[in-house]
Amino acid sequence: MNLTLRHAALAATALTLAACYPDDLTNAEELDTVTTLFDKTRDFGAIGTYVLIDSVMFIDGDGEGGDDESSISHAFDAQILATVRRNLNEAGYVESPNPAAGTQDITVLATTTTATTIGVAYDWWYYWGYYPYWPGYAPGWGYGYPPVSVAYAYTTGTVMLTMIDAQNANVASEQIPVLWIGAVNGVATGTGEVARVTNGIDQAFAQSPYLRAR
Amino acid sequence: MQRLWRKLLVTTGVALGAAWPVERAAAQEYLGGLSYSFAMPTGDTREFTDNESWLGLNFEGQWFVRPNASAGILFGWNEFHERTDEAIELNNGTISGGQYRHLNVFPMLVTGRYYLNNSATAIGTTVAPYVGASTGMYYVRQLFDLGTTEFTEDGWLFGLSPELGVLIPLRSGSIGMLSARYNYPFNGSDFLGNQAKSFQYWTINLGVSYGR
Repeated sequence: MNLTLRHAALAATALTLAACYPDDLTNAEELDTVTTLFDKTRDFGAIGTYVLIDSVMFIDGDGEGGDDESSISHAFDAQILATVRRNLNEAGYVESPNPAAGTQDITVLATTTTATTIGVAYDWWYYWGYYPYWPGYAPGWGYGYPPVSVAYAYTTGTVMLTMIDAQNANVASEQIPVLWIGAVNGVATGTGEVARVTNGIDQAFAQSPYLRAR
Repeated sequence: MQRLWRKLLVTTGVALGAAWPVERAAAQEYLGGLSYSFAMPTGDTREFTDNESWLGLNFEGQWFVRPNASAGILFGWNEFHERTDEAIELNNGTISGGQYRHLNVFPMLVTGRYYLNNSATAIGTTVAPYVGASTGMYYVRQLFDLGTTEFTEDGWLFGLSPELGVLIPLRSGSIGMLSARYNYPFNGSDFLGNQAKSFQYWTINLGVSYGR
């Protein structure tokens, strides 16, 4: 190959290698999401007092045979509730001094749930690399080795904040109006990173500016 | 590892194309080409992934039907991607988190070229500008990752592609190829969000042709 072609090949190689995918995931936190939904017909500026349920309830997302509450740690409940309380106060809401009276404008509760996903992934690139020619047969026949397969399992956790209007519950239909939902979801790493949860709660309130409409 | 294989495949293909031996033909009957393709999104493509594409490849062949005109086929590939944390606003809410947006486009086109002031005998010995047009099918695969959830849709779109280019004889005897092409797949199929999309984009293609 003469010099010109060599230069062309090298330039093409450099350009091609410059084409790169975005950075691979480096930690599970990059998969965290925060979703908020709200009732557009509500005037959040008219809300004054709130009651924050004093415990974080667990809801089994896997159904029967899934996680039970005994396997779920409540070590971070206090931090979760403290973060929710701080954000509600900063939004201008006042915590009711007498929750038992039931006169608060809204009730806020925090729940957690987990879900485990199991699957198998295979890489077809490895499959073609191991496709042999079986002697004695016509060209094109070969023994099809199974692709390289990898089993995986991961658990995701969700902390959900629900703001309800218990004062206007419909007893006949057994429905309670939901004013706002904030859901913080991420892959459970088992390392107890409560900061991911509290940061997610802060983000849920930050992306809900209508809650501060007063 | 899959990305490494892709890079090696593309690199090997372009290097082989650059090294392909060529004769200086007295009159070209056929031109084969392999080119690297840089792409810039527009329209629906830019709306989905606002990033230029540095990963693309074209294989094409041109057969001279007249002294100044050729017809042929083109198989190409361009890939667009973007990682963003931009929040998604819904009608009654917001979703925030890491998003990975990926678009693979495979044009499969019938092409035609008209060589300005040049004939098949001159190509390979002088600079040969040309204008071209292509039509055919685009296979588009759209992928959207949000957190641990992945959404994918794909579809076939009929499209058109005008082109401007120039063939440049190289000292080695090969023919260098530089062109700009606008790819316009027509609106169609149900892509993510149950919406019909077009996925237009520009490409600048740099490669090597060989003829006989």
